[in-house]
Amino acid sequence: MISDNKRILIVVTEGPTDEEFYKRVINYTKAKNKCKKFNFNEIKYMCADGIGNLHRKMLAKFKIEICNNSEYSKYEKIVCFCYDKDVFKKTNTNPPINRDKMKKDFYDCGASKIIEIVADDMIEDFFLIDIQGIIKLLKLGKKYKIPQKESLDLLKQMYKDGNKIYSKGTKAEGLVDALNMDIILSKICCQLSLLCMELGYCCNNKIC
Amino acid sequence: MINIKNLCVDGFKNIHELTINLNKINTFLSSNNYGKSNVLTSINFGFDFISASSNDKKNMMSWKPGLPLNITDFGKNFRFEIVFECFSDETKIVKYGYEFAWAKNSKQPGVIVAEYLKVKQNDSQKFATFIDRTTESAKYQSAPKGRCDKDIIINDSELIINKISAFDDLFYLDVVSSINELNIFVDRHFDARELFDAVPIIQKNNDNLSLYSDNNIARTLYYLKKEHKNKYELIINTLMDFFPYINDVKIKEINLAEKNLKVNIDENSPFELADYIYTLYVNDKYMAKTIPFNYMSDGVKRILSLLTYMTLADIKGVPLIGIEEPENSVHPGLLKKYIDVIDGFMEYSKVIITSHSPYLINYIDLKNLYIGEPTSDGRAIFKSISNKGINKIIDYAEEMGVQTGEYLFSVVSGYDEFDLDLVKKYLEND
Repeated sequence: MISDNKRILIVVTEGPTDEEFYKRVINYTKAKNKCKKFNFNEIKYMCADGIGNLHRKMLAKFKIEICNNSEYSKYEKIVCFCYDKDVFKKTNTNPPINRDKMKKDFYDCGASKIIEIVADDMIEDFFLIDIQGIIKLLKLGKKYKIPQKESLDLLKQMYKDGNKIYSKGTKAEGLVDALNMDIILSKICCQLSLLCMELGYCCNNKIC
Repeated sequence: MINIKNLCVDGFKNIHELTINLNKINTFLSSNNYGKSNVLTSINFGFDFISASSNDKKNMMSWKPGLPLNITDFGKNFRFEIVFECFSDETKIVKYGYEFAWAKNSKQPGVIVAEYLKVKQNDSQKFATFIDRTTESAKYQSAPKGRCDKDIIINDSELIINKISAFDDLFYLDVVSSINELNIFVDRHFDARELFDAVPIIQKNNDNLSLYSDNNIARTLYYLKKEHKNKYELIINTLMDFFPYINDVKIKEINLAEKNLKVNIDENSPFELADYIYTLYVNDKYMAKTIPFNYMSDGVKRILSLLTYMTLADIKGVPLIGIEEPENSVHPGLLKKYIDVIDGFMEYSKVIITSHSPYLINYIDLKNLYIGEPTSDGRAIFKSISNKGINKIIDYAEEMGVQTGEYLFSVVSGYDEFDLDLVKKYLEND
């Protein structure tokens, strides 16, 4: 039923900045591996930006654009969910994402394999690994005193100090381009290993 | 500077015993024509009454549109109470309130029937009473070691809090002054277009950064750029972040003296011809040339005006801002950012929002949401959601596969008796 060599990777992210980040991760990894061909014939990105419920929205896109698309009928469909650890926590706003249900629905729809990249605790923690890159982007100056805050709160404060507003889950213009991937990937290599392995790279933490 | 913790209003239009425990962003949701706008109007009225002159108070107490006309609450006294932290030498918790009976007719004018001021140190349990007024007596505390037993002569349309603000040696003058200076800004610019017209007539001794004058947005931004550059940059950067096709915003200053304009303005008028007018221009990356800001959409104008007003409120230390339907003319996809921006802009002020948007409600902490309880008598009874209610709402939304905003709008609309019962079950009950 599934061809031996045709594979598509669908990277599912929560927002446009996350999508930009994972695109850059994948491109960077390829460059670092001397542009060795990926294990995929195609890579698609799906972003749950904007209004609506991530689970249903992503599932509908996957079903209509990939599974019901004759072009991909013979492809092995690998889905990579990229999200923050905290999306599974209960908040006072919306229902948390039911990870098991989401996986089951994607499998029922036609996913061949699902991998998860879960940022611990938030993707902003990944960005902040290159805090100097962010300082430069926001023109905060070399003498900038880093606020005594953590994670999302720290990034928000830094943006505020740069006369900007950081809004999680929405597009942060220029942020991903400003980051030094060498610095970031050297710290999160292990967290990305599932993705790298699917891509056909296994550097055992040596390349990044 | 003060930090408002709590507000209570009663006896205004159809508002019934409203209590708000203020967080940074507080949102009101109800069906149409329930009384959301009345919430902001009643709070605004309550604040304005404190600073109004005795004559204006008389007029306000006979202001017919404010009188409760609802059968159940007809003619009910107006009550207003505010609890706030006052930061002077030491942090104090202040509770101030008053009550008046609405004018019945020209022969029975409105009468202030109660007033109280209670203060405690931040770490103390017990409030000390500094003003105590009933229909029988009016007393205040005059010395630190005394009691609240000093009689004061006060007429029916005066507040003691106004009168004692002239007592220079009063030991709690800081508290009294902060109450007399209380104010709120309510934005109701559903149509923000007129705010972008060049206005050559301004108030005499105009405060270019006033929230309450008729300054257009361009004039305000010009002075913000001059006097609060960082705040100005925050506004423009945020606007460009909302609308990435905007590359830059420019302010043009036009010297009216050079134009030899002749305008007939009575010298006793509070207005005068401005020396300069200001207009805004935009570099839009899809346009061949710079265009007047007036060409932009209503949504862009509403957002820029709100960003400007929020900034002014924070600069001026306005403790509370009311925003009616901020989602008006704004694409639902921008609302997540919108809420983050409101949160980020307000360092000092708190915000009350009324909304018709399920998408906006999706991004609001349900703890800070007030819902209009279904009533059969036309009264507006807003209540917050209980912790148990929050869990139930989220469970229901999850079961239906929708976001909480969509779910809440569906039950508040009351399509069947289950919906109405559910809303009641979710709310905090006394």
